[in-house]
Amino acid sequence: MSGPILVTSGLSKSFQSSRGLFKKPLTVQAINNISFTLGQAETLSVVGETGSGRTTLAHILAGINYPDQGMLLYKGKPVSYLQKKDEELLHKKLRLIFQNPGRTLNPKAPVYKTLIEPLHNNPDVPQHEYRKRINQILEKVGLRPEQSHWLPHMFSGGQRQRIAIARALVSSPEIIIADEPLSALDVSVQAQIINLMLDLQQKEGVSYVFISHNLGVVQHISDKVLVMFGGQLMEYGHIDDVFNRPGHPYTRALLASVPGLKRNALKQWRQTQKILTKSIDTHLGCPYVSRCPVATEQCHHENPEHTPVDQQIVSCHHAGNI
Amino acid sequence: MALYIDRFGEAKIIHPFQGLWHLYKLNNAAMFGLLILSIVVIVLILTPVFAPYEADRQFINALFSPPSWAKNGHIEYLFGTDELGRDIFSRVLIGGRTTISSAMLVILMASSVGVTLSLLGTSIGGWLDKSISWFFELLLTFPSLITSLLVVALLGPGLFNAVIAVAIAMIPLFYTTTRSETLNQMRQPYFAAAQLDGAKGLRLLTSTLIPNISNPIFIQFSLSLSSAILEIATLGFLGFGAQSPQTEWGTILGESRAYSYQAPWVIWLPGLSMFLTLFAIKLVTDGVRETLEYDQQLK
Amino acid sequence: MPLLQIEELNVSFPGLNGEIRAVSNSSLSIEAGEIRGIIGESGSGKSVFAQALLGLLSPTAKVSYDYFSFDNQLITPGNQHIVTQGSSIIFQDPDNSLNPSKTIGNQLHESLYLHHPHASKDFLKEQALSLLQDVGLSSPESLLGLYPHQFAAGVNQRIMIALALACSPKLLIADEATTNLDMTIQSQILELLTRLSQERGMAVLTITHDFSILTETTDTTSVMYCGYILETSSTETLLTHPKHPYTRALVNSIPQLGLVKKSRTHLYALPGSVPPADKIPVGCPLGPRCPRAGRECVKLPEMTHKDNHHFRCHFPIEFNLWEDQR
Repeated sequence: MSGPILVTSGLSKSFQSSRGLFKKPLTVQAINNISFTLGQAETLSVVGETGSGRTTLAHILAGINYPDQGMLLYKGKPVSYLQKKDEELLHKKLRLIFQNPGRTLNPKAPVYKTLIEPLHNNPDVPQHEYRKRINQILEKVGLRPEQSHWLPHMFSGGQRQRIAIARALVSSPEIIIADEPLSALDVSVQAQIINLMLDLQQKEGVSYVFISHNLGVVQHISDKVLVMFGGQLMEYGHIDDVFNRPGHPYTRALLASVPGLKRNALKQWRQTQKILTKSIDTHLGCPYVSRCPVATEQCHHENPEHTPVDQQIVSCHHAGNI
Repeated sequence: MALYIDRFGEAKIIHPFQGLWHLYKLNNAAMFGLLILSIVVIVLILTPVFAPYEADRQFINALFSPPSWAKNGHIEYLFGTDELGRDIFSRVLIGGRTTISSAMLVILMASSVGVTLSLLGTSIGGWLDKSISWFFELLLTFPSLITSLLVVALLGPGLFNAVIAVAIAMIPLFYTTTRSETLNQMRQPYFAAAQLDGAKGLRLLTSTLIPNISNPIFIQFSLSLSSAILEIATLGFLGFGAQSPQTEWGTILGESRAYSYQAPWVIWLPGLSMFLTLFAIKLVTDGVRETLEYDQQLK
Repeated sequence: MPLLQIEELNVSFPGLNGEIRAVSNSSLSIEAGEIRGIIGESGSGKSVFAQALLGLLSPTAKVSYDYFSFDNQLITPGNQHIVTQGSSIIFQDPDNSLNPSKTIGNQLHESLYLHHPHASKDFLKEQALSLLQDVGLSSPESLLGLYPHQFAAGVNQRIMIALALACSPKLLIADEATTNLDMTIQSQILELLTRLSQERGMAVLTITHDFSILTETTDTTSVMYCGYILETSSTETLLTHPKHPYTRALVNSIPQLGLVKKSRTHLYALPGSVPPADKIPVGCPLGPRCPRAGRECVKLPEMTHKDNHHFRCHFPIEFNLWEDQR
């Protein structure tokens, strides 16, 4: 299949939080101008701290929230958030795996009931085939069909994550968005889940949007990577390009913080903690300015554009010169 | 389905109620309460068998007869007789039936109205929901006795009116409990996940919401039972509830209050029975609540 | 003479279905000024281990050891307080460890007062300021009046470290201290701990489940699983030449940045999952999951000592990371 399966352009979303009766409500820009493309059987990793807007991005892609601005193209056709059938299509083909597997399964429902839910709205599968399909999918993720009538609390954490993956697979999705699928799991189980996800990609051609903070895993499974900070795109490109020749100060700081071959080379990019107190970010400049070691006057006032540098896209005023 | 490890270490899958019963059995106080409650329930159900006389049969030559274990007591009047010669034991049994069955009726009515209104409200949402919930929360600030007295003052005395009054007074409690649990559930990740899967409307309600709020509502149910008994009895005591010759615990106590110095057994025996019943209900309710909480913890 | 040495520590708790053995037959020694690591997953007993060392466990815990010495003194259950007074511990999630209703100046003052009960207020304030500066916070005077929730991410953990240093400990235990922090802040905190250790000659025991934290800070690391210490060696050896199959799974299954051999290949993964605390297998705890297990594994292996590399396994592996990468 040629052409990217998912294209996003300029996605932005802001939230309003009220500050009481007498103050104007606070507008928080959760994400701002995010663009990327994803091909079939490709993995795009989204890297960023908590609060960088990656969960909001995941929710928008999965259809839980609507963007204020920006466009989403699925297989070349724009998805309009006002059309109901577009929404239903998105929910089927773009599935989300939440962060904490234990909390996303109804504790009072046997597992097969949870897995059957997506099939009710799916006209492709007739009712008498439900059982067969569930059993198929359970075997695919490494669970036994006999376990399908158990309640979620009878499974271990790793098994619950497999159930979450099974639930995502039930409607034969083409894109799976995984929001930190590994962080709640024991280390020895993480490898099992990574292997499972790689298998599924190979056999079923699933594409992933993989949100994680573990750079080693990101390097292992991704084709492309999107680095986010403060809701904005800092750097975006192919994994080898970004990790071998990082263009943005934040990417360099990230790579410098993980022990590995790059650490000493990038030592000077360590973040400097300039501002110690929490402050509400209302300035119009680059969101990284409070921690950037090479921030200049311009960075405080102007938001940098997406500039192509080498093979990737970097959002920095000093892109290409550092 | 619950996973149960029996004493040989083997894992079995048993029905969830069986699992809860095993947990409940571990709680000694709760088992004691259950024992007493079972006795009370059996005696009350089999009142026609146990009660020797009718509630309003008067024994003119045995007025104020003390209980059978006292000096002048007679065995045929187990708890003694009151100022009109009526056998207190029979009155306690028959009155208990009235009180408790009225209380159960109250709970059924209050819970069905309260829970349904709450579910409807949260499903519809918007200003209608907000105003109804504001109204019920306001009502909740009044002690329920005041509310039931007000209603009974409007409707007039009588057992049936008392039942209606207490039921109306208890609706806000069920409404707010259901509402807070519903809102809590709607915030859960699995709720959002179910919606993403395509569940909506009635389906979402029955599959995801109701199984998860049924525990707290059930606990509220049992907690309210003792309150309902007390309120029906209070209204009866004050003269607004069951009117004689209807027999009801509160009415018995209210009528005989004047003679509590001459013949104290007229007060303290019915009072003790009421106390025992409420005590047993409390033990059982606490036991059920602890069992459910412990079960939740184990998961 | 090592700063801390404990042999054959056993900790167990009463449980619903019998005893829960949190720590079994574990020995540890820490030199003065050394940065030591313990790595293990959840349920491995590492936190209980640390708390047992400091005497922080509840009275229901049964603690026993063959030999325990700290700072050249023999420790018995009676004089446990020597260890508690000479050590400090910092925990995960700094936002929950600080009292939200008191300013940090107040909390520092409290801690310092406990250790210098006769000092003047000015002296205590001076100490507080110097502690805040030691942990890398510039212009500390302005920070004393602030509350914990007003600080940016990562600063609270520094404040926790400052509080921990108030008693001039000889040993600082960091129990998953960087786990919930973002990566860039994590590396800052680790650097800080390393610097403090060098400046003050203070030993640091880092407890974590993330091997990348240990690779450049610690020299020696122990691997724990289900309450047992399975392998102890220099951190680099655990990465490049581990002897225990569990170490290989723990350390090598999650790709480390820069050490990824060929992308998209299968990772080395142990089947199954960590057993719950009351169902630890008899003998070697890894037995049911271990790909190399044999009949001997129902008996707990003895600790083999091979020039500073200690491991407990009947069928140790010969794994060389560099060859595996090709």
